[in-house]
Amino acid sequence: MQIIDNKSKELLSHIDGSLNYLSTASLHFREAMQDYLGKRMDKFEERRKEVNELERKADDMLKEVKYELYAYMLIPDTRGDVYKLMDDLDDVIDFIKDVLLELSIEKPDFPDFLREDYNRLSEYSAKAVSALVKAVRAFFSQIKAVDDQVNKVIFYEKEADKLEEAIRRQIFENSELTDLALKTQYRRFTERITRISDISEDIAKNVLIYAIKRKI
Amino acid sequence: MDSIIFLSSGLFMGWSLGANDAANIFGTAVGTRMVRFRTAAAICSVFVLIGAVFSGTGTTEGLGALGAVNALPGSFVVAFSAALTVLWMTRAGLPVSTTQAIVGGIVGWNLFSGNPTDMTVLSRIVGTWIYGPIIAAVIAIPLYFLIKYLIESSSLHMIRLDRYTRGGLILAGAFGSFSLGANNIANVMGVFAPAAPFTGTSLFGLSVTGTQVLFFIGGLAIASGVITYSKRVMSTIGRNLYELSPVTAFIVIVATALVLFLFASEGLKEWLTVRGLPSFPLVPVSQSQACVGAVLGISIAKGGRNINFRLLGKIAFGWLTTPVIAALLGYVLLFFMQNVFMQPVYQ
Repeated sequence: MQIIDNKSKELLSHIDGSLNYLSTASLHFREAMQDYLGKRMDKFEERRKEVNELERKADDMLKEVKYELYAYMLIPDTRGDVYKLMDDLDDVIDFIKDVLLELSIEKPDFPDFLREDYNRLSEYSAKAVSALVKAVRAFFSQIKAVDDQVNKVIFYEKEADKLEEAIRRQIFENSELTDLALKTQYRRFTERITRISDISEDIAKNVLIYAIKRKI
Repeated sequence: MDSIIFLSSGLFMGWSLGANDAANIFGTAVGTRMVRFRTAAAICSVFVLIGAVFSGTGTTEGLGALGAVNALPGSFVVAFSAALTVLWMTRAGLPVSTTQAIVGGIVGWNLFSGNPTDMTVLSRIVGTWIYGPIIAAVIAIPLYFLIKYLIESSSLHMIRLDRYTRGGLILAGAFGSFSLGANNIANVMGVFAPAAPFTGTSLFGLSVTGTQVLFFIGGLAIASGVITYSKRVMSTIGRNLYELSPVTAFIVIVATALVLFLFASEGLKEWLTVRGLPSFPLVPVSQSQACVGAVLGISIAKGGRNINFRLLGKIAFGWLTTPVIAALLGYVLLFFMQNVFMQPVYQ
């Protein structure tokens, strides 16, 4: 029983650790976007490196979690769902890292009239990730709270979707922007930032199903 | 030597009870890999033995009141016909109860020997086939809501819950095994008790009666069934009538074990009687039926969806046919034993 206890504690701490990394990465993403839009590139790069480091750590920890789930034969009835969930969460942090990397490489010069909207868009996406992490924590320990958190994820995703459409319309309707290559680049970044909330919503909906399955 | 040969059918009965009924206790736990088979088999074997030796007398007397088979060859045939019925029914894929088989066998012996069947005792035993599963369901439903409430209000992490569930399954499994030994040893060795050749002796430093020696041997037979064959049954249990999670499996084990315990505990009966409260008759109860009742209780508590009614009908059919087949088979085999093998099957 002591061995099981140690293994349980190890797995529990690794799951918590993974969620902490994802939560911190979403906060760094939000700050990085503000730095980028404020043209503070040094600070942006620092944030980006932080996210890279978090992604690497989260990746290692998620591998541990996945291994422990099967090697220690813990939570046999829900391990398939937990495995898939942890795998999906890995995609979120990967995606955040990729968006920041693309910004760092392509350095799109967003027009001033769009900066505030991009700021809000990144805020919605970061909040969606934050709510997702809370939904996952609730799935593990407070099943009744899952619905609330999933609703928040869905709300932020919807807001992000509306804003995405507004930004894209501005990109293609604004007469100041004439270069099609730039329009396409802006549109792509708009979609990429929104995609973070989309992925969060997809995972959150799965969490809702896992939670129903977990109810005794 | 003759005694050993005649006891063999009881040992066979014990083996098949161990193979089948241990699966009802630890099936979901092992099937979902919450508990390793080795651990389950060891706990089950030890506690079945303890239950059989130290708490098996009450139900044996209850079964004896139905018909005290007073010649060893007769006991052999009764146990053999019951065991054969269990084997056939199992092979036909029908859920079967050893209790019903042995009761059918004894009634067959009563018919053959001209011994009148005490209808009061018979109705008391048959009554448990109806209210045994009902009591199990009645215990399982509030237990389900209580555990659900405790889990939901405690904010217990899934991993911690998993750990506690494992512990709970092992404890409930030990209690279930004890109750199984105490209640169902009568099915295995009860018919041999009136004609048993053993006398009182000392077992592991404890002084035991001849009947307890008989029960110890029966308990060993059950344990051998657990160790050699129950793994196969365990891997298929729990997915048929209603899919159980480890937590609901825990509830089913506790409810089933409580039913068996209520009908086996002499101490409880005495405690209730002294206080002028209605007590439970000490008769062997079908563990399979109690288990089905508890599973149904859980599914009712969850809204009554997803019950496999077809299988339920099949189970009910098995419950009706088992005692009839065992009685008929017993009657025919007693005839052969008496007239072909020239052995006295009653005195």
